[in-house]
Amino acid sequence: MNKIKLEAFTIKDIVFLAVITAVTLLASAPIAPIVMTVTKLGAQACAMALPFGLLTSIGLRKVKKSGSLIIIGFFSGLVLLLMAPVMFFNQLVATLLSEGLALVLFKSYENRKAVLFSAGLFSFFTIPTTAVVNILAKGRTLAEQIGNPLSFILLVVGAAALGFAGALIGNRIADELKKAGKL
Amino acid sequence: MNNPEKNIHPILSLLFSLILFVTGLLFVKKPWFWIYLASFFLLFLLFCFGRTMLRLIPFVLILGALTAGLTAVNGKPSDILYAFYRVLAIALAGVLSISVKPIKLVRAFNQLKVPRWLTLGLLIVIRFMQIFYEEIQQIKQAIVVRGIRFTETPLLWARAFFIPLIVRVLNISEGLAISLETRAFSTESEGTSYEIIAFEKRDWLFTALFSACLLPFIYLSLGGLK
Repeated sequence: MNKIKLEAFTIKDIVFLAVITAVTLLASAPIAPIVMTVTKLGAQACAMALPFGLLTSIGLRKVKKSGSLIIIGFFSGLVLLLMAPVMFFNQLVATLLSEGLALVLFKSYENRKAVLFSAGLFSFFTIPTTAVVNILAKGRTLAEQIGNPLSFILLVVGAAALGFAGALIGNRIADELKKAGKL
Repeated sequence: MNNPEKNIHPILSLLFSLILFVTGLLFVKKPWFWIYLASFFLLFLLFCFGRTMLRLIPFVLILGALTAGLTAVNGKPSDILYAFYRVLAIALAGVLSISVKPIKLVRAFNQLKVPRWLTLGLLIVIRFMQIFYEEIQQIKQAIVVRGIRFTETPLLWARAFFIPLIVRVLNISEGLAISLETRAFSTESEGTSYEIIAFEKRDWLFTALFSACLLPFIYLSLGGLK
């Protein structure tokens, strides 16, 4: 049985992951302030799923080392720490869960499904952390956060679906770039 | 007004920003929330954060109006007010963190022996957000010149936007990595700091006054004076 391989990151990898994080944050910047204060659980994840899925999947196609998504989570979390401090934990936990699960299932990013899974579920996994943060920091119960169950289910499914759609588009772009000899 | 050289220690700023973020959101529904806001407002004015607060006014007004408007769709009048208060609480926490100079934060992290790859990455992300903002504007202009409209051909628009963007990401990161390697940057080596970021009297005074402002409200929220 294959094991999860841990490789050291070079400066080249770190720089690429940092730059892709900057672009991801910029791509989500027009939507982020609008959903930042929305109290409905899942709304933020749903809004961020597409740009995060798309750009992180390209990042993972270029740097196929275990821990790449966690590094993206660290970088985006550290920048968001300056704007909304709780977002740091949100990003970090989401990348840990998403990458952890993807690597447990597929072992390495050489498998394209691992990239799809990891990048696609990044936003989705911010939902549990957001719920915990809302309970601890805002004193809002889970029932209050969920509100109407139907709209909550739609938001959760939407976050996963948009994340996967983004990751799929990202993979297509990565394929084209690979064909052109750029990736 | 706000001299960046006179800012609070970056790590303290981040820590206090986090505390203000959490307590601000916790206290939103308290009747004394305005006193809480006013006391920190005065504290920030006292420590010359006036310019940073002025910079945040458009953010508060636009985002406050937007979130209050969205809440007004199916919320009670009190919910609309709380939505606006939440934006105020976030802005209050943002005053300290926005005032942090990225390079000073990175130097403070380096002094705390935070791994080099992490501080370097943070600096790149912050620096390159501005660069890529300009790149994105150029790509958008090129798309307009070629007559591609998002409303008419969204798929073609996305292709014309994302592929050049990613190619630029690849080219810039390649160049930057080579430039860093030639300057002996590596993920393993420990760097030296050009400037030592130390705790000063101003930081201790700010900590004392910050605690003096915050503790009464924590006491009140825990059911004090009943």
